[in-house]
Amino acid sequence: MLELHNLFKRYGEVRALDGASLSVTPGRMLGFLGPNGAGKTTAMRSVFGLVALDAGEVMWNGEPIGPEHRLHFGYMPEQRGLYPRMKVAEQLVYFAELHGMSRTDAAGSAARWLATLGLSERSEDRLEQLSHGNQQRVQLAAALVHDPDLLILDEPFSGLDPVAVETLASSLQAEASKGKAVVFSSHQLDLVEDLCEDVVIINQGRNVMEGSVAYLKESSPHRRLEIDVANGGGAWFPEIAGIEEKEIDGSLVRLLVQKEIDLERVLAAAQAVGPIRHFSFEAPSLSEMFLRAVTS
Amino acid sequence: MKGLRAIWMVARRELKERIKSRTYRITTVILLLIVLGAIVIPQMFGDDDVPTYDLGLVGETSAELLGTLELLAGASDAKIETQDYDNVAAAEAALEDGDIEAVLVDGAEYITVDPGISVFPVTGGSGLSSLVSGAVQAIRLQELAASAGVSVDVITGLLTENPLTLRSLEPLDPNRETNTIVSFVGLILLYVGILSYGAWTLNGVIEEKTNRVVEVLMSALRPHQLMAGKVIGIGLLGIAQLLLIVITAGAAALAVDLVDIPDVSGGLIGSLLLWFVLGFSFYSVAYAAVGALVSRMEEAQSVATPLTMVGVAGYLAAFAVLENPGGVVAKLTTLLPPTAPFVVPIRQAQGAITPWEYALSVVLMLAATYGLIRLAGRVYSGAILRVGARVKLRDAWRSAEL
Repeated sequence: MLELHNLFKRYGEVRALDGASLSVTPGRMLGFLGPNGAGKTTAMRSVFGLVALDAGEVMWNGEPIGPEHRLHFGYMPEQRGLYPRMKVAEQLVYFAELHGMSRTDAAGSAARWLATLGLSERSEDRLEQLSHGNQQRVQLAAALVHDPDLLILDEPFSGLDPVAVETLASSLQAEASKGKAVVFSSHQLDLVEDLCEDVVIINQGRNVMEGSVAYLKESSPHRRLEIDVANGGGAWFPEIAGIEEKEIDGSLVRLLVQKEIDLERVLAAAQAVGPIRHFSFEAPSLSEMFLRAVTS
Repeated sequence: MKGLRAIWMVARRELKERIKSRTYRITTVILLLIVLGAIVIPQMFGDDDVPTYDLGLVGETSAELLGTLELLAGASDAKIETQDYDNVAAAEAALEDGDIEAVLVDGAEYITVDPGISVFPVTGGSGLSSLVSGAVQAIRLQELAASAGVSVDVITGLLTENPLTLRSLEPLDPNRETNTIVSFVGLILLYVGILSYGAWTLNGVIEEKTNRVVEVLMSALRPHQLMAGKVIGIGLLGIAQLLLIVITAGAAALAVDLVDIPDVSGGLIGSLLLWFVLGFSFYSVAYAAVGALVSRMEEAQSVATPLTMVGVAGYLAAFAVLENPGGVVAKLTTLLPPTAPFVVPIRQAQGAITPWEYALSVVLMLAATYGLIRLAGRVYSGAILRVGARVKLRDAWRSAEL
């Protein structure tokens, strides 16, 4: 289990981390969210000792993380980078060996990952001969090739086409289901909502929201209400407490309401106008909760 | 153990990737061609090495004199070709035209163009004037000896045998001259090797920063491991290239009979190798540290210049030491790590360094390199992940995590 606890880091006057915390359990995927400059990269780097923290604890299974632990972690930095002139397969073998794998195991693992990511035919090419998207896949393979227990990926989906996003997403899910802890940052919140069990949202170096996606949605004080009533222009909607936003689109009414709104009254009023063609009452999307959390 | 394995992994990658690179192969071939050319070409054109003197003759010149002249010339690896002229005027005209170097009139008068050449006293040398005067003297001596009833053999014996017994305070070192040549060539190789392989380290560090692979590397390696691996890998490659050049040069020199292998002392070669390793490690570690300060290749020059200047100073100091291998400058530069790699082998070849000085310089060098590794490691780790503007040395030092 990875635990980052109360991290503090200042760069001159800028507080990059101001008490941020997160924890990831093996077998689960955590989405690490926040606007640009919130401190995500700094927090992720701290796991690899790439940042000298001013304060805070960085632990793996209850022990402070040291060089030995890091050999069992995989990292995909935000600033992508590999050796451009090195052959793809050799490069992966090198990174696997650096993480303590034997040469034979490293070669086997590199070949498996290249096959999984559809790059077997390019294994003898130099990295610079590959397209941007394929280089990105190699970068992912470099983070995975040594079979790490923890994966930390900084913006792994940025710049990928939908097909590559799908490949990467399913690879990460497969890793998590094998019992690995996976943390990734992303601005593609719908994707995070689909993929992750847990999220942590930070802003200005501090946690503003955290927990399982299901729990966060459930405990949100807001709901999205949509109701489409035949013949209704929207004016029928009762003036009740708890309406925050209202938008009328023909016969369709879209509202942001408080969770405790009197649904009975809404339904009764609707039925009085005509037959209900569509009705939904759902927790807000992760994207909405994110915006609310970081702007409030 | 794992730490050492990681260093070796890094070193091995450097070796493999650089040996495969076109640049390395091309520079090796070019260096080999230059070295071979420098040894073989002068031999090909230098067959007619024997100096040949053209001497004009006017009037009577005895057959004995001409015979003695030829003998003396032969003894000093020279050849004399004579040309007869009818009168002095004709000979002088030929002298003016440069057809001949001097004129001998009646075996007694010697005419040259340049009055600066002194003919007497004769103190050896193989110049034409000394050959001629030597021959004339020898003939006169023979005549004198004959008239005094002394046989020619006695006179010859007297002139060729050394009348003194020799003793020197310093032990006789028959290899001293060869050692000086070897250490001089070694000095040039050391200088070129240390600075150019140091530049490889510098470029290698900047390259990893430019293509940003360094962050992935640092997630698995500690800064000093990455730095040490790089320095060792490039160092081995440098030694391989140097050895290839030295062996090729040695084989070529033997093939054209320039030197004899037994003349070169093995200790000196070993010492050159030792000081290459020490000097390269010292400079390379420093280059790695300054390389971490910049993110773009264009800035490499600006951070490397101060270091390169120190290297050049060390190289120049070695020349001063060559003049006076036992002086204060020599003693001081022996103990300074940046200059020691250039100075110590030169002093050793001159037989002008005491064992304790040698040992002290090695110890100081090792201590300085170790200290530099610690210092450079800190600068390296503080700067290596900072991309963009050039990192100030002080900032790198402060933000280092060690």
